[in-house]
Amino acid sequence: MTCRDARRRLEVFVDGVLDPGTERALRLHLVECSECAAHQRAAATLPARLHALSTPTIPDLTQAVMSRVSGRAARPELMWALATLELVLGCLLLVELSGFAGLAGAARSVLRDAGWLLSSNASTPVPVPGDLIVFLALVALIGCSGAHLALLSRGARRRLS
Amino acid sequence: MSGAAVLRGRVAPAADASSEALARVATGGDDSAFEALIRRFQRRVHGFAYQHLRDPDEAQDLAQEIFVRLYRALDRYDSQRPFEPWFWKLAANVALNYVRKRVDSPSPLCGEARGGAGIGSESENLREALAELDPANRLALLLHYYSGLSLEEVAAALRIGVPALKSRLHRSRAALRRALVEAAP
Repeated sequence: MTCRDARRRLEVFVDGVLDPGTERALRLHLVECSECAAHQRAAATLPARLHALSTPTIPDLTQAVMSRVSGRAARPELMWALATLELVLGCLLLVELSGFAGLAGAARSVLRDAGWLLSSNASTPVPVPGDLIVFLALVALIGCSGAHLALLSRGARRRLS
Repeated sequence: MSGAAVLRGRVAPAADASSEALARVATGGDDSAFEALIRRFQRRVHGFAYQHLRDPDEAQDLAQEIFVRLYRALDRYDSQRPFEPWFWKLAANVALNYVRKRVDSPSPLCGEARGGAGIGSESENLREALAELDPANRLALLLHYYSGLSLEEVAAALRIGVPALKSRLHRSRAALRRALVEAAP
């Protein structure tokens, strides 16, 4: 076995996964060649030396990390999307419930037109019940507000802790 | 609650709670669980960052960045799976991106640190040789031999197969071994 062949196989030899024939030849070469034997010693101690690499001591990172993540509890774009949806739903409910007959009538008219456009039978517009709209909008608003409040309280808890 | 104990009216993580339990509690918004995770991993994370960058200030910055990214990514952690492979995968990605950013804007401190005291000692020779390796190869070596991850975990973290990882580790170790023998008196 040449030195080149021996050194190419040293890492596999150190890991103990060299085939027996090649391992025998390599061992013979290492007995005869002091330079390759030095390479073998370096290869054999390398994993332990990597594991034992020293590191300078550091201060506790906890405070530094927590100060960097505080205020990032909820993504701002999500909070804005929820706020916008709540505003839209709130306006819809206001129009439906305020008693402003003109606004409510206009909204119903728009929805009826939309329903008529979507309907296959153009001669009979689909009625859109106002109570159903109010109910669905209320449910959606409660859901959005609940999610929004949960995110806000989670952020507040993080800041307090 | 698994891995947690009630303390002064708050739910505080137990010292012996598993990392998976801590991550699960932290995902629910409990910062004390997240702090426990930081304390548990900070020494290893900082060591890994320091061996990768060889600059104490940058290593501290990278270690913080890894934990900040962990905090943001906790929602994506599946608590049915082991925490450490997932965490080190995230740490490896952050470290690689950090090195890429640093190549774009090299830090003057880095050069000073490399020229620091202790040149010529065995561990300094090893650090010098490590620094000469390709960052991806260095990362593989550090994750396996320094941080103690299994081959499968490192392969998953680096998104390569185990045979490819073994070959990468052998090549990197051969490069280090040659450098060490040449530097030896």
